Amino acid sequence: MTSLIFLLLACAMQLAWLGNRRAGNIVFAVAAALSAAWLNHHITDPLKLAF
Amino acid sequence: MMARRVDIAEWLSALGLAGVIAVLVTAYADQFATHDLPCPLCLLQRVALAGVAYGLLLNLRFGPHPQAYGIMLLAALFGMGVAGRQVLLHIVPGSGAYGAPLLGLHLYTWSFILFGLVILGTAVLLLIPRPEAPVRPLPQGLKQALAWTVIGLTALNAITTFLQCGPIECPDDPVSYWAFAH
Repeated sequence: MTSLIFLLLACAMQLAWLGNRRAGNIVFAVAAALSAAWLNHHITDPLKLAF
Repeated sequence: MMARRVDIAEWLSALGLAGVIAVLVTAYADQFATHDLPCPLCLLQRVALAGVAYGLLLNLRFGPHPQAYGIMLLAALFGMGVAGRQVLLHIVPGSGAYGAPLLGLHLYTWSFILFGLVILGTAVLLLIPRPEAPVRPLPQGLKQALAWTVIGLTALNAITTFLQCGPIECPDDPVSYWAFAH
C-alpha cells in the first residue's frame, strides 16, 4: 500500500510539473486520503504513557 | 525603492526542495549503508516529505500560491503526527528504540524536528510579499534538475518500498526484503 502511495505522489508531481495542475492535485488528494487511512491502520499499538 | 532582483519565495522554494532531496538521500544512505530497513511509520514520514515536496514543486512550476503553502502545511502536520507518534512509542525509558541514532537522535526524532522546521519555513514564505517589479527568474535548468530529481526519488521509493513490503503491508520491525525472501 505504501508503495502505491509513493507511486501516486510521483504521478501527481509529474502531472503538475508537466503543466496539468488540476490532475496533479486530484492524484495528490487520493494519495493523501490513502496515507491518512494507512496511518490509521498502523497506529494500533497502545502507548505506554503515564501522566 | 530599489527593485528586488530575484523572487525570494521562489529561491527559498528551490532551497526547500533541495533540502527535501538531501533528507530523502540521507534516508536511503541509512537504509542501504547500515541495512536499517524503514518501518511502516518511517515510510509514512517519507510520504509526508514527498507531500511537502509536491507543494514546493507547485511553487516552482506555477509561482508562489496559497494552495501550495496549504499542501506543504498539511503534509508537514501529517509528518509531525506520524513522527510524534513514533517518538511517543519509545519515549518511556526502557521501551527501546527503532534503528540506530544519527548525531545523537533517532531518525523519527529528527523527522519531528524537520517537520516543525517545514511549518516554520512555510510561515516565513507566507510573510514574503510578492515582488512588484519584474524579477530575474530561477535558472530553468536548476528548476528542471530539482523537479526531476525529487520525482525520481519518489518513484524510486515506490519501487524499493514494494521490494521491501510487497503489495500489502510491511511488518512492524522489518529485517529483510519481501521480494528477496520469496
